[in-house]
Amino acid sequence: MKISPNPTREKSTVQTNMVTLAIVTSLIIITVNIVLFFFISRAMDVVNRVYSTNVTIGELSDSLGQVRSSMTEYLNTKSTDSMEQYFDACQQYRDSLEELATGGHGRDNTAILNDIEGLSETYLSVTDDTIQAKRGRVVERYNALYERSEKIYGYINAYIYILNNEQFRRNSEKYATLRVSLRYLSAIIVSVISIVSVINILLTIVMTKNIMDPVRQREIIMETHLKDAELKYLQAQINPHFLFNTLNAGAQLAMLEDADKTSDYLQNVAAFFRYRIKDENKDTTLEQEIALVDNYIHILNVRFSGEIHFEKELDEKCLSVSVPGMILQPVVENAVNYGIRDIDREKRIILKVERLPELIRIRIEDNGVGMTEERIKEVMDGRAGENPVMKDSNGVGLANVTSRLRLFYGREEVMHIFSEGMDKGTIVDILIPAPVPEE
Amino acid sequence: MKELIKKRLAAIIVATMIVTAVVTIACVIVFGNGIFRILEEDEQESFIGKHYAFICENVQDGFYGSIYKGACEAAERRGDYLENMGGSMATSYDRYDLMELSIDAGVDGIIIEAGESDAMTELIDRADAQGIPVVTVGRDNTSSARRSYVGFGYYDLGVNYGKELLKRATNREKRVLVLMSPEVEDLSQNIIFQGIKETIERADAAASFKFETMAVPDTSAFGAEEAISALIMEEDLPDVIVCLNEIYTTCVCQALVDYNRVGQTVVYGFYENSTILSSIRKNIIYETLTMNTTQMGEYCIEALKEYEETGYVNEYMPVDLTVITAENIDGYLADKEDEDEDLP
Repeated sequence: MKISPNPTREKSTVQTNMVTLAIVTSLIIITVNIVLFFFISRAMDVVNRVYSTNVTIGELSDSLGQVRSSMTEYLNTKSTDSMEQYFDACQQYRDSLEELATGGHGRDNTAILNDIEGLSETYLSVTDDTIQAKRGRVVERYNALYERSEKIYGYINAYIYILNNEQFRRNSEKYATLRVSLRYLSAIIVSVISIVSVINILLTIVMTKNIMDPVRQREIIMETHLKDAELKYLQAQINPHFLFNTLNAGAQLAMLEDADKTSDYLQNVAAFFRYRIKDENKDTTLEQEIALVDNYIHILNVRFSGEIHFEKELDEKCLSVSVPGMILQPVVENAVNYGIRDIDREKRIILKVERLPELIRIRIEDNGVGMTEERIKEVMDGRAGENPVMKDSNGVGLANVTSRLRLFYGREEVMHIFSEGMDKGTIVDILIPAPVPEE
Repeated sequence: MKELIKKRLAAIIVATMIVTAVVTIACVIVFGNGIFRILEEDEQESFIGKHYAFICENVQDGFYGSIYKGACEAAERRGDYLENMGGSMATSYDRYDLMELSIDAGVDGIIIEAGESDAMTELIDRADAQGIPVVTVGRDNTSSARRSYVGFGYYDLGVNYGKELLKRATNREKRVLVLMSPEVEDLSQNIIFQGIKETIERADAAASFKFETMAVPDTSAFGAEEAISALIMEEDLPDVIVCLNEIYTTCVCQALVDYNRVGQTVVYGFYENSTILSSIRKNIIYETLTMNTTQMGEYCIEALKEYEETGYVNEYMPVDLTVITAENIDGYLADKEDEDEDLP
């Protein structure tokens, strides 16, 4: 079982991944959109320009009509108003002509425009002459000039008509091209957005899978522990308080009857169970853990007629260190059940607590049947077939101890098991960080 | 290991995404630019050269249509523009109106199918006075101030027809009908007719031919076709029919087939089109006199350019006449195809 050693670092990687994902996808979509927006705005510009020439041509035609009507009116009435109107109209016509002349129109239309310009010049000079002749009252001349101007007016109108038609045709062609291209463009936009979306989804799946996996692992651990806890809770249904009180009553009875050994035994048993009904979530001290081991050994020695020799070599300074509950007794129980129970020679267990430079080492050493390398590995990996409800077991296995130690101290190296082979005994070292001495 | 694969996969996907985006953007830019270039290219297209006017009775007519096309291409090669005056107008103007229009519009030069009328002479003189050089094509106006005439000599054309007729001289007198346009003022037809007659006379074969002329009325829109059909339907067909323009030739070809009179008269045509050429191949008409109209068009532009540059130009730029008969038609068409391919 693997647990990521540094959750903070993991969190920051998750964040970085998320942010990178968001930035990359947003940047791509924004860039694509900017390009498309630019294209569309340019297309709109062309659309706007497409029909503007037709508008200008219309204005030209109107102002030409005004020149003609104001001149005719002057010829009819000789009024100052119509004269003024005539000059205004001439100016307006020249302006429209100039406006139309700027900007390209293609070869054919440029030629038509040339014709219109030439004809307009002739027309305006003829109309000027007509007005002069009218002023001078040269009736014959202004009549002739008027007729000539009408003819030229007809030509100009014919050309304006062609130019308008031609321009409209060209503009329609352009508009058609633009429409086709816009249709293609919308197809491109849809495909681009689809492609980007699909890739985005894929990317999200891959990246969130990366993110989710460690979390999932943790969830599994938590579930395992929960199940473990639930099992122990069920076992604890045999009301421990009742058991503890009963045992205490037994101890008092034995004392009254002067059965000192029985009284001792029952007191030890009671102490053992009292330790168990303590709040399991609370940390305890190494000293209390050792006291529990003492109780346990005492109970066993009564059961096995004092066969187990239990020795302690303790560094007193280390006893007050705080540890998670139930870490020593399961190890000792393990040593009894799998180490020394079935040997015929003297059964010995040694508990050593010593201080190393940065660690406290708690060593439980037995002289039992020993362990193979394989078995050690199985036990350490938690693969050993532990049966938590087996006889003579408190239900807490070595894997559970290791796991809790790791979670408690946030480090991997918490337990070592050594054995030189069969019948050579086993050494279990629990390594916990030494408290930093207060100044 | 699994982690590594996942990371690589993610990297590949990101890379694909970026590549897709870049490629798409590039495509959109290239595609967009292409479209805008198409849309804007003809806006920028214009001409800075000269603006000439081309005036003829009917540009749909194969003969003048072909001259116009040749001249147009020649002008375009030089960066100039040749406008078919009145071509796209809703109102149809005659050559005189169009001539007036061109002068008022102040074009840089005029190419016109003129004809020998006084009104035309006056207009050409007016244009020249305003500094607009005029080149006549196909039909000249000799008394005007036109700068050059591009075409065939009418008399030469008549001589050509005469020479071809002489090949048919026999002891029996043959009736020759020359189809003419009714335009009284147009002297060109008279000169052609004169050329035919004098050639025959010079060869002392006057006794072999009896000449008649027929003015094909063109007062109504499709009068020519009606008149020619009536002629072909007549009991007594002339031995030889000479057509002096393309329309008459085409109408005769069609009428001979329609009224089943093929082989009953010998037709000398003018110019060429698909009907005329296939009629020659099928021996419906005997021969046609044609000329290189593309070349004529080019000559017109050359004449205008030369005048602009030097102030002088040849008064007459003749084109060669070609006789097409059933014997040489294949060779003629092959040569023409080669020529078309050689055009720049």
